[in-house]
Amino acid sequence: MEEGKSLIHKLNTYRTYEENNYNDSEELSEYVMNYSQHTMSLKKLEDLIRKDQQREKDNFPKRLKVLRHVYPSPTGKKKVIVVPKVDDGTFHHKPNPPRDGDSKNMTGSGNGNVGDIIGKKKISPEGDENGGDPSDEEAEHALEIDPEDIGRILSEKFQLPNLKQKGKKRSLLKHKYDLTDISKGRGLILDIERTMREIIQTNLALGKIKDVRKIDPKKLVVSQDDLIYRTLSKERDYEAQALVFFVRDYSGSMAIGQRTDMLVHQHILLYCWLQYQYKGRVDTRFVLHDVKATEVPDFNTYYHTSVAGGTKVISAYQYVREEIERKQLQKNYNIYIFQGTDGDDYDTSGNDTVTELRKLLPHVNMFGITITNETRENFLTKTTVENYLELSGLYTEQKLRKSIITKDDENDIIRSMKELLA
Amino acid sequence: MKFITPEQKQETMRCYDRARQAGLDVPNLTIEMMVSNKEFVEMRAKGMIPTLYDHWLQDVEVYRGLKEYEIFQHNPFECVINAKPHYSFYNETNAEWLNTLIYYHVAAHIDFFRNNVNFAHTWNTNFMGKSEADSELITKYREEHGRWADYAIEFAISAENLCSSFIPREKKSDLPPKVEYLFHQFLQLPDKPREKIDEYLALYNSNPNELFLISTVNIEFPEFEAFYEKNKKAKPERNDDVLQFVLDHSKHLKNNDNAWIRDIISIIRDTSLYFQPQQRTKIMNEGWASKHHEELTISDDTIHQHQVGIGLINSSVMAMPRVGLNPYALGKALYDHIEEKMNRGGYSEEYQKLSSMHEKEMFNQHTGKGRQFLFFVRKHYSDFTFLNEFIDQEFVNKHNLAVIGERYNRAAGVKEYYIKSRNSEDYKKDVLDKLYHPPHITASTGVNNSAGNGSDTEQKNDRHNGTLFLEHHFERKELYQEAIPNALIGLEFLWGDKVVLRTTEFTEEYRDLVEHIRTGKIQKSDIEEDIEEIEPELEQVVYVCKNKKVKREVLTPQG
Repeated sequence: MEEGKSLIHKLNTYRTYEENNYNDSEELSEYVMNYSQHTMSLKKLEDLIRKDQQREKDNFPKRLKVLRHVYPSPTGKKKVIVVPKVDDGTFHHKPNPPRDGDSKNMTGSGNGNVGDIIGKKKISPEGDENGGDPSDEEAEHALEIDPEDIGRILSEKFQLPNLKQKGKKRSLLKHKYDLTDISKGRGLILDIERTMREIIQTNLALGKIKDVRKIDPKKLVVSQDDLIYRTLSKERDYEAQALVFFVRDYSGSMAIGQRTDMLVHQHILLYCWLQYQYKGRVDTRFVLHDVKATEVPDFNTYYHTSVAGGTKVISAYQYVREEIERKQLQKNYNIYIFQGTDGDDYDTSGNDTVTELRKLLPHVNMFGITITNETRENFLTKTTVENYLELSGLYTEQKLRKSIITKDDENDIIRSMKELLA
Repeated sequence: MKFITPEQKQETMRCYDRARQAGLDVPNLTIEMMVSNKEFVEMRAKGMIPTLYDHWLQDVEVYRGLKEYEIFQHNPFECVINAKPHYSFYNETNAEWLNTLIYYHVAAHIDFFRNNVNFAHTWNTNFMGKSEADSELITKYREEHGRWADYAIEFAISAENLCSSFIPREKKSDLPPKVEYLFHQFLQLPDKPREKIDEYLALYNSNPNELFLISTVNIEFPEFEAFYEKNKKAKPERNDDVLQFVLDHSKHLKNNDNAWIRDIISIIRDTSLYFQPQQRTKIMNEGWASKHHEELTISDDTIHQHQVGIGLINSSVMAMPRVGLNPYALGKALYDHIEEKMNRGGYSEEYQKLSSMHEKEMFNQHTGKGRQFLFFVRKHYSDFTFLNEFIDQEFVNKHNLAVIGERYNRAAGVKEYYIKSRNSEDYKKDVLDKLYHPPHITASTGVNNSAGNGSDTEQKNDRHNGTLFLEHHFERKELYQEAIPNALIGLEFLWGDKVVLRTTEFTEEYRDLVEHIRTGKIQKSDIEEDIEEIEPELEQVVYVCKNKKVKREVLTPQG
């Protein structure tokens, strides 16, 4: 009400400027007040997905798409990328690539002679890009979304199974205080890094910085606008309930084709799915192995590291089992292990490896093995790992599941996930 | 969303006054609101019209926009909408001195909306009010028809670019059709006596009765009726406005139970017509606003202490990107160029006759007509005509513009960007290629036969079933294939029967070839001919949509 009054008050103030035109100030104020009702009430992602499922029941094609590529990186730009997107439904022209064989033409400006190369960009998605990246296509997609949201999409859109509630139900709710809101000019705590960046920008523009390598902070001008603050806000934080070991082979053979990419795509989607199933209460450990196992701190290292060594799967099993037993992790967590391999192993008979696996399995809720090998598409010959696992008879235990990925494609990866989780 | 403060209002009044002195047409009544970033994101999904109808497609946009905003905090400064009165929205985080610059920017936008002829059909309606009424109607239909109302909206949106504001609706004559035909066409046929015109004119004026006049004519010219009928049949029907065509000809929609679908289509069509001129004048409009805000801000003494901030922001808005197209910068630069060239008399015959660049540079008639000419351009041009006519080599040279090519270098594993051309014609071609240009699709029910396919008997049957034939007129660009099924299924829902689209596509082989060359898998030198010489291989393709199933069929060339 108070707001309404003040609006009318303001309108009356306007009257003095425009005596003749504002005859209907009351009416007008109602009109303006109505906006809030028309402003959309934000729908949740579930609602949108449900809407899309309804379409299918009505015999219309689905239209909601989820951008897939997920490239986490600590450097900022390319992070987890999943946003909803509506499939196009209007007639429109497809831009033709120029007929001279270039991939596209763009307008631009600046110095240089005809024929000069002004920028380069690596074709492969990973690796650093040399400057001069003109079209910011990548940046456009570089959005961060809560892994839980991806998990929800996976569960609902692709109908991945939901986990049955098992184990101890715990509601360890903590509150976390996080500096989430960012504002210019005012706020609680000065964000020094952002502020510095802002100050440098201003001073570069002013020409105060002649040589970027030799900046004299005393000479910098600091304007009020450069100060970036953060605001403290309270957020819920749950204790982790599930622990996932992502284990992968990083030996030389994994560098063939897209074996690593396929595997890592599957693993990150699995991680998202678990995040959703456990409402964000998931801890992760990353283990790489060739002939011996080593643990790495984050996903990025897990993704990008590779060596040229041989393969001993047993090393990873030993490492994980020792970790679990040493800290008695199985008492506090639901443990999941996802192992990725191209199927090669020095231990061709598999005797030792299977023995080790038998020791490990009782500790875990699920053990998912993913074979990423593009050759499995064409040849029916099974890989070493597949062979000895089959002979071991461990599949009957239900805890051990196997999936095969042969190409880096959304549908194939989702299918493989269903194999693991169904 | 809230009103600006009285102090801010006073500042807008001052800015608008200065804008008026500079020749801009800004009305006395304008409404300004302060908007938060989140509200901007929400409004963007609605084309910045807060009162626009709700739809789930917008929700997806908003969801995405808010997620984006968490990562990239880009704050839009302002937004003006073309309504009566003019509403403008300002980001509440704008600094006051920055707002001054923005008020000037907004003033020029308002001037553009009110004067550019492309907006003529929006001048007499208050779209804010209309869309609010539409929105209420849609809410009502949604209550009555549930999700089917949403489908109707969605499918109408699928075809919203197939209506146009360019071709004026046919003028309805006040005269009865036969009288109209008699004077306008029949009596002007070469073998008809001219003196009869005056005679019949006098007759009709003394007794304005169609029957009386026509019966007189029939006595003197017994062939009149036959001619009239023939002409009526030959009259081409306006059919490049697919939505209007569906409204006019669908038997399904004529059914009273489906009147609500008609209403929804009309609403979407009107909305589309409202937005189209903005899409077609983006560069002109932003350039115009940028030019004026810069001039007016520089000459404004009251904000001189903020020179640095203004300079920073202005230059970031006005930067000509190394690669890419900035409508603000390009538009403003081109206006500047036009004004300067006109002042020198650069659009005169004498100038055009000069051959050397040096002579052209030296040429100066001191016409002083630059500003006047700018206002003329602002009134009569759209992006296409503006860029097509005024981008010339001098402009490209002055601003160091270029066409940048992107090519794969497989050996080095990189995409390379290189300066491909500095020729104004190439540059112009590339810019024009990026403008809003919906495909040219005409609709028919098979009577005109232009979009027909299959055997004659089938067509006759289709005519009875009320098949909608769409013909895509090929302009060296194929339609985006992935979207065709969605669009056709949508049109089938609206039309109520089978829909057939005939279009031209590149053949699979040609597409593969281009793709391989593009990604460097095949070197240009591997092929005997130069790729530039290869004429695209085309094929006629028909998409048939019936019962929500779309079938694609390649037509074998006849003869």
